[in-house]
Amino acid sequence: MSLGRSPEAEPRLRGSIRRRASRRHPRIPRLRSILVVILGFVLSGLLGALSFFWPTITAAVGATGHTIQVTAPSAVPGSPTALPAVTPTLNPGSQAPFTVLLLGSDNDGKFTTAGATSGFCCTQSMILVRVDPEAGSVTMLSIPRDLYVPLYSPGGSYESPDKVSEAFGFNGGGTSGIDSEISTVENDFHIQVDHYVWIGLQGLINLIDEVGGIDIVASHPVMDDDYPYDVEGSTNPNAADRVAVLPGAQHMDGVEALEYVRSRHDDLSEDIGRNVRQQQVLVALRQKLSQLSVGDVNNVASALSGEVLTDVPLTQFPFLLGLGKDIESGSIQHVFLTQYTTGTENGEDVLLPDMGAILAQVHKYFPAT
Amino acid sequence: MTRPHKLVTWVALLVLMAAFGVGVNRYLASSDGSAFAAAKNPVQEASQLDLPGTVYFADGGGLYSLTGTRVTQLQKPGQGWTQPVLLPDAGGLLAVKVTTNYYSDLYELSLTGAVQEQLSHDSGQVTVTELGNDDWLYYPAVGPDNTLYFSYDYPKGDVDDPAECCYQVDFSIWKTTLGTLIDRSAVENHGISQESWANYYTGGDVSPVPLSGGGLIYVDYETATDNTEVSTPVPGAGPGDEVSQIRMDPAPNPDGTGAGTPLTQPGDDCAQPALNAAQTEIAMICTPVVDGAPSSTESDLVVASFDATTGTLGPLDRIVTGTLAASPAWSPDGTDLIYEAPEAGDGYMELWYVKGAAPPAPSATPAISASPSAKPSVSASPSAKGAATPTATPMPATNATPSAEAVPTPNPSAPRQITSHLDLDGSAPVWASS
Repeated sequence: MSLGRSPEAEPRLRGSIRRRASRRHPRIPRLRSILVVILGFVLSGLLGALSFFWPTITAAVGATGHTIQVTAPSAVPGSPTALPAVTPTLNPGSQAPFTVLLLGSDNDGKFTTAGATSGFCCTQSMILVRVDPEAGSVTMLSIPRDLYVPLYSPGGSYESPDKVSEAFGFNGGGTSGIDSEISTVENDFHIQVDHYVWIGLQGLINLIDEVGGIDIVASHPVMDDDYPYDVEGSTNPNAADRVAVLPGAQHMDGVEALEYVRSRHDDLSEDIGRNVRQQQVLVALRQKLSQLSVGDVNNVASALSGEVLTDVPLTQFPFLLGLGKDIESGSIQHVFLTQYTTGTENGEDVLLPDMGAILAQVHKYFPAT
Repeated sequence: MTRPHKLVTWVALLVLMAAFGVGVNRYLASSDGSAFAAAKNPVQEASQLDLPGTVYFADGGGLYSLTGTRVTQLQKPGQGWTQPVLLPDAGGLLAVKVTTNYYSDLYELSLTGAVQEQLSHDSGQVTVTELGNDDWLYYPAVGPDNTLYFSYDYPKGDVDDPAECCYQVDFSIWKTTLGTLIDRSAVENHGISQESWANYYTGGDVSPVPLSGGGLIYVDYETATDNTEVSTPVPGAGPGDEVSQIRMDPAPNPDGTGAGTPLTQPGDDCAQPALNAAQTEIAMICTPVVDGAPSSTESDLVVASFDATTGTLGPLDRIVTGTLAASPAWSPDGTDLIYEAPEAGDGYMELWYVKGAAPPAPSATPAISASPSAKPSVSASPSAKGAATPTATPMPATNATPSAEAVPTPNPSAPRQITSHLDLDGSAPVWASS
């Protein structure tokens, strides 16, 4: 019959066969097209999200580029026991308990000339935080900054005895100073620090201002006629200010909160009183950060840009900040070390620790290594 | 589909994809960040509750009055104004003006906010080399015969060792006659008398409340675990904890050496007393015990009956719990309370109202009721009386039996929010009858 077809009918027939053939296997190319379209939308959405979070990403890269560089600790000369080597073993993303060392510092570049690598001072605040996501508990333990202990280098070698807060400046501040503080804490307290967060004074001010301030009950009138005036444009590192934080419930902005946590001169309990206030502000800040919405992320990141360093993985941050809301404020334990006497070393007032009693207290909350 | 049709379709899809990406970006940008929104100027936000009389309050360094639902600015924000107080004749106000990080001074203002007189003059200058000459003056209160009480951070330095200058800076309560110039010279030359002597290195004595028959109620700060400081060690308190105690000094010594009689226990950590006009009820703020230790995130609004003649306080009735209550003030008839507490979300301190916090006095005016148009309280409103903390410690009987049973039991309503999106500074508001 085909012989009887006209020549004009031939192309029509071929087209018809092609169409029939394409109808016979239509799914593969169509499916491919659909997948391409879906992929396009996903990529486009990701690009849109990426461009939105770009300020956060760049700030995060700057803040998280450093990981703990602490090697196996060495024995203190004269120490009865050499400590085993410790390597952080936390599996990122796991629900396992983890320990974070919070360091608050003004970086003390105020005592240095531009570009200097020495002359840095110390950390103003050292708080060990143990987060147990499964148990829904947080423990905060403040280390008194004047505790007189052996200091260690980032490499874990013994350096000299001094105030625990001096390890930061002893090794030049910055990431090296942070590693030295971690090494010192791990060696002296026989615990493992999994992560750290370092924040500068201006970073704390910026962060608290960015979240709209914090609400706390000021425990008593916090008065100070010799409060360091070294933020917000001060050019004199030794300048002083007067501070009067009135007692009672208050909504504090960043500067007020910093004054509240940093002042210590008119406090009978001296540094312990300040440690109590520091933990109080951390709890209030954590409460505020738990309300963080996506729209706030970039602003918070910008506020912290250049003022925070951390190696806490994104998977652990929600537990630390209370974003998961699984850990209530009432589940936070506050621990303060009081097992020491006062004394003088090298002309400076220091706290002479009873390490046996201190270790017993620390290891109630932080696993011994 | 022909090739041109395909091309058009793919171009359209590409445009849609790009639009989708932009949409995702804009959606994220528009996500709710209102929890951290800036506070508003009070005049931008009408009151949610129509209270009788006028409430004076401080916000962001400015002074404001609230009449009905309308807020009027008396002094611009950002000028350091705080702690407004009504003069006894209700014809004017006293308020403190703070020069941050240096000093504060006391002013008399008209009810419309015009400065009438500067009552104190700090001796220092706004320079870091002059700090030793600067003084803080806070907590003004006017009692009978125009007696003015206030907290003043003088004398300074270590009293036991004057060479140890400048680290001890505690408030003591001082007294003078309203209108007397307050400056360092007057203080040093005994033109002004010291009514209390603070515990060293505690921050000191604050919140004087004059009694109509003479004498004084005030708040004293102590170190919770130091046996040399605190009258009774505080259970659950840790090292470094400070606690407040409300004391009554019926006849303060002229040299300020009297310690007064404790009205509350250190373990209750009560402060910010507000006395009703009849002097039969004290509203105050006390720290609840949570998980065996004083809370650092909550403070309760507490009411107790008070007998000024015997210096006794009835049982503590925690009428608002589960929030961060602060700075109570009584209604002119002494039955209702306003106080400050955070609102949900932004956490800014707002004005709240509790009706029926105390039983009406026999001569009291009719109880105040909210206007019909008043909005319901926000969902995050603090819990009222039913959630009272069972750990509240009854007052110690000093020299008479508690008077609480002599008066009817108050029945406070649930708290209602008066303002929103403000940022009150924690200083007590004033509730005037007109």
